[in-house]
Amino acid sequence: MHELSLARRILRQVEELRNEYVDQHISAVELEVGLMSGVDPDILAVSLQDEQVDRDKPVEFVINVVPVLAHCSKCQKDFQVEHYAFSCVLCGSTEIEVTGGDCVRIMSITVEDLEV
Amino acid sequence: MVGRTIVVRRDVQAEQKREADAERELLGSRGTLVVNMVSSPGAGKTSLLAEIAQHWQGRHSMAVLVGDIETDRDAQRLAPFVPVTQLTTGGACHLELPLVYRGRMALGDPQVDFLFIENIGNLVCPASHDLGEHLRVVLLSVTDGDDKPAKYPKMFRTSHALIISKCDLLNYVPFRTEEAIRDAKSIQPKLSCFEISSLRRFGISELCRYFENERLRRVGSPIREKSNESAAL
Repeated sequence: MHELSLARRILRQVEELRNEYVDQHISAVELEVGLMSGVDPDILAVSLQDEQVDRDKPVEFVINVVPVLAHCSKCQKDFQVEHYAFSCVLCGSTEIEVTGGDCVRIMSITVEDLEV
Repeated sequence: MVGRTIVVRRDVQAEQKREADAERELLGSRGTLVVNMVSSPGAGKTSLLAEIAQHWQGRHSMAVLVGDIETDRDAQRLAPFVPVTQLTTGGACHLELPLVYRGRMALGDPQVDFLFIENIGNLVCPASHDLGEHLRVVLLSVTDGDDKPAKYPKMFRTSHALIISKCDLLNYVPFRTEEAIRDAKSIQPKLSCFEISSLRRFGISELCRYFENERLRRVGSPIREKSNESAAL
């Protein structure tokens, strides 16, 4: 993946979120990086830092790497996909649906009131 | 300062996904099946496209957007067989939707049965970029090695079909077809698998039939058959 362009995209979206919370400073953002997102979390962290180097109040990013999760349509088991083996760990069915770990998400933001 | 946490849960690539979905829907509504063809460099994407174009000549219409970092050599190779536009990235290792859109417009926004996008030869980055395709097909040549599905899983996970190419060389290289297919299917159980040789021209008609059936299934419109007369030419 291309962590620098992704970092810019994330910062743009944080800016959009800030506009939704006028007069409030976003101090921290929690990101979720899926193991199958194709994104290297360390390079993303460095890119986010580099892109904010000129800012007075840089946003602090917390990056949580999450595993690939799946749900078996046959036996209804929810499980973690290891080593890209996409079959149910319980019944072996390949009728499974990936339920997480394949994208990058902004999970939460921490905002601070500017006036105290 | 008082801090409070607000739950957002926003996919940072949601906008790109929406744009790709819109492209897919638009072209599908016109009866065009869009195929994103990916592989490592030199696996035979261009040769295969030339064979497909000749196989369908006079029967089904197709156009090609061909991506490379430099040169228009692939477009020159394909031009005798099919309407084609070269997309040159100047260094970028994958195609993205805006460049594909510009290429489609440069080609005159053709109303065709099949639009093939030949991606940059790379088994990594193109896996993460939805180009609005209906089908993603990955070529694995027997000279690439049978371990590539296990080593580059995301590309195989996100593909609909695996095309093992250069099968005429199987007697000369230690490629275990069953092993490659087994690994690829463990990553993506729904993969359709094909074994072809563009040079010796085998497996091409089966593959074309697959594309025809997928077009019917995904785009829901029958092939715009040309008249029997032109088909006979």
